[in-house]
Amino acid sequence: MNVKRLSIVILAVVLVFCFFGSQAESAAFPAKEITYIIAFNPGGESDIEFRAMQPYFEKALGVRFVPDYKPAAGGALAWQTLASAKPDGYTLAGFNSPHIITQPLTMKDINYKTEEFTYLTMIEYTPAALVVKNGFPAKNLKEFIDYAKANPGKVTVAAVGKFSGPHLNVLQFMKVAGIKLTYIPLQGTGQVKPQIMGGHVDAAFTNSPAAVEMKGTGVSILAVGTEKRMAQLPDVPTFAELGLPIYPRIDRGIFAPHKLPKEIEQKLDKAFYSVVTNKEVQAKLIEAGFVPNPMNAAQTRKYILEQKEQIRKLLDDEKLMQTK
Amino acid sequence: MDIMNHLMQGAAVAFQPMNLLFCFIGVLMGTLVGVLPGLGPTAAIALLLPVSFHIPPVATIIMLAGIYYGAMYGGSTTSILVNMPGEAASVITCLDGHQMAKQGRAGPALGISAIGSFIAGTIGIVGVMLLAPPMAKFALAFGPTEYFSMMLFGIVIIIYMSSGSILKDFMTAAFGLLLGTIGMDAIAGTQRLTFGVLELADGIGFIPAVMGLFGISEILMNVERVVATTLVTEKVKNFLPSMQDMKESIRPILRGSFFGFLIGVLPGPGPVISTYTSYAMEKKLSKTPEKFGTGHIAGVAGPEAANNAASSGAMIPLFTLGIPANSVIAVLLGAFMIHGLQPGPMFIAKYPDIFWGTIVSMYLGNAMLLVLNLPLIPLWIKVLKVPYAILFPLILIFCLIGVYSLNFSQVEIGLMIGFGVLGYFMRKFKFEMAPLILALVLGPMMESNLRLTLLINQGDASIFVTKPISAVFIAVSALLIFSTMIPSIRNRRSKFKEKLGEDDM
Amino acid sequence: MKRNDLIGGLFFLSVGVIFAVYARSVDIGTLDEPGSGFLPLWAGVLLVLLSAALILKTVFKKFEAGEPFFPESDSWKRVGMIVLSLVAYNFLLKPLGLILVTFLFVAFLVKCIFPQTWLKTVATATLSTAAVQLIFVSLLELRLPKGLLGF
Repeated sequence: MNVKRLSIVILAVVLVFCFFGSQAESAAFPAKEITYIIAFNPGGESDIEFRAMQPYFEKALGVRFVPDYKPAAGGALAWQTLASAKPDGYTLAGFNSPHIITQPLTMKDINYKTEEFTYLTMIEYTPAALVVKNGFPAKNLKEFIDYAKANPGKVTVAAVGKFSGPHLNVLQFMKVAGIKLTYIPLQGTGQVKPQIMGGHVDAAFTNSPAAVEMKGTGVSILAVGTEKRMAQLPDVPTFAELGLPIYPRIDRGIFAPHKLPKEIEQKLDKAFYSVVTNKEVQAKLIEAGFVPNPMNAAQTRKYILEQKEQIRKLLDDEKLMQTK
Repeated sequence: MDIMNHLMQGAAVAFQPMNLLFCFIGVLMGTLVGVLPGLGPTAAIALLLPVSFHIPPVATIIMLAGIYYGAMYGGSTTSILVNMPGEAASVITCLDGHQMAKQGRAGPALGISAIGSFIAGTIGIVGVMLLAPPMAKFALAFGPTEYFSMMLFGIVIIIYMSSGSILKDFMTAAFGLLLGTIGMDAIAGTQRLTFGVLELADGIGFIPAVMGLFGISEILMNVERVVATTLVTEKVKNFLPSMQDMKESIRPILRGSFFGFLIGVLPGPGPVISTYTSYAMEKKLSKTPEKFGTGHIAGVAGPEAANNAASSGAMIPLFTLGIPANSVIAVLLGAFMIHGLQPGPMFIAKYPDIFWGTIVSMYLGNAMLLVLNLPLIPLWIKVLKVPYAILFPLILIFCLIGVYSLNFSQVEIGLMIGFGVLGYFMRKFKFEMAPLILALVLGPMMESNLRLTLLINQGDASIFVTKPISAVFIAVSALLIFSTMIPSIRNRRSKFKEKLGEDDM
Repeated sequence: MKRNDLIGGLFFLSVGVIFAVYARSVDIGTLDEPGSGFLPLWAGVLLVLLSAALILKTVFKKFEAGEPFFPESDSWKRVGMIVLSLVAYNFLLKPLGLILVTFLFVAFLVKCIFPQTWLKTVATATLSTAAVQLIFVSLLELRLPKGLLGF
């Protein structure tokens, strides 16, 4: 019977192929293309950032950078993939902080640890802005805080995700300002904009490019999370300026699996640092709405670990940690 | 006149040889990825994003928009030929489109969807030109409350109009809602029902589900019998729609375009709901509603026009508010940002050449699609003539690789196979698949909008009937459900059923 | 179709029960702050009620002989073989690589489901493998598994 004969042939072929196959390792790094895992959708901010720098990376290291999109679970899938990849420098990923810190603290089924990566560089951050809907009784940050104090829990504030960077920003804001707001977790900046513009929520924490886009729609931008006022929003004060020492934002950088060989780490560190400090690259990043924030490998690691302690404390105070 | 000036300005941009070229590349690429199962416009746009760094913004947007509506069109080709919708908006096209193909009328089905899309594109563009600012306000009036009610209405309408048993349809819809709850809970930020599989963290993908339920299960049904030599059981009658076809289709096309455009302006589920609404409307208005589902051309023409008009409508929130209506548009928005352009209320005034250039190029693109696709019809029909013994392994292989290429996930291939088996049993046991698919697509959005509404309004559910837009959707939904319980209407419904030889209610 | 409705009803009933029971282990929340389990619970309950209604209706209906589950005596073999080969494809894709597994998959199905001549089998498998390689790998540059032999 044909079926039987063919199945035997196939089985034999399969077995033969299973015995083949050790791949030769190459000596000098980098010898082949580098896979760059992007934890969010094509066209998202992480993608835009990578695309702006890709040619510079390729020039600095002399090999192709191939993007590999793994958008799921707020980035967790991508970072978990990286954590289990071979630490040979051929698999890298973009990271977002505080996501990379909050996920192991607040989500179940996360099997990577914040400190078990080789941090290579910090690239830029996107500051967050506090926006209120058209016709909201408060016209500046002080009035907003007073209003929220007078009506505890009545003011709704929307941002992207729960235990996400933006949510954390809101928690921090409430803590520093001493107010209680009702937090409305939405899915993506694309959803925040219509909700605040349509007046379905009272206020929103949103990234600054989105805030810039909403100028002129009747919403008011009360404060931004930068250190100095933003060039695109010269008349909007910073939180710090108004006496609230917070800098709500999302940091982005690049990291590799844990235990990356030292010489590869140094090579990548040097190459990336030269790119992120390149004026031409920075101009491109600013044009796309980012604030360049270059750091080398050691600085990046130190920054992330410091952030982790702060965030752990904040989550502890709010009793939001799922795991210890 | 002002609009004429704008149009001329747009035409001047769109007719530049380089922009024409990129428009052509876009629609060609779009048609290709639309025809390949699994690979969607999002993947294609992501693939072409690097190119966009080296060409001017207008050319980028024109090319990417071309991929978007080209894929819409390509998707209906596989729906009609092999019963495999490439995206949620082409699910409805399968119902009558594939039946037509089986009767040897694939040509008219493909033809009418090209012509319908073209007409709808025309109407959509006129709509964008005249109505962009007021429509943007209309879209903003939709908050969580209104979205929930609209999606509930969407599900009720598909159940009301389906030809099967209402009880079973409600069951499959509830099942779809439950499947939709698997994965990341966007509101609470936690995972549920994922059994530790990280690939499920963002939920069950629509593509594996729909390719399993429609594509794989169809093949499993077909191979049961040896007689099936080719997919087309009858002689191919003609390649293009006849005058009679056109007469039957023109009204559905016009209605579909009009409503599709209105619904498409709403971010999110617009294009999907527009196809379901159009199908339901045509069936309701038709003198011969029993013909729907058996290969009736109006059942292809209306929804195809609707989803095309909806994709024009989706450009309004993008350009006027900077709000992406779906994931494809979100990538388009990303492309804007790469070039330092920020769509928003000031965009049209600031960059009239980009806005009007894109609008005019969309019109050109629709014309190109028509010219590109009508000659392809005889080729597609040849595909149907390949002996089934050879064709079905090819369909399967394209399903497998198509699904795998989405996220490079073997879990998703597994899901597709699982849904294939499920779909096979559902067909055997006479459960309809359309309510399941719609509920699966809309379920997560319905859930989050329901919970957001309750969260914002401190648990006050009466808001659904006190807000006017929401109240209308709820009232009509209630009326439809109620009417199925009134005996006289039930009798009329079951008369259709007898004609169809279907199960009882 | 009494038997089919009964099986379908029982299947969906158990799905509903599983989801509803599971939902109770997740946070259901309150009406002003519904949790993760809110919708799974209520949709599960709804599915249970609907399935129960279908089962009840079936029980009170007269038995009628429907068509047999499989139209031909060896239908189940072909359906089963296809499902199994899909599963096999999924498992062998990574170890064998795209080209080889695609070739074997198409060859197996063409030869064994509705047996064709060896010539047709090999021709179909070769052409389809080439087409797949051309469209997905060369044209679209997708990174599909290369397998142990490096192709």
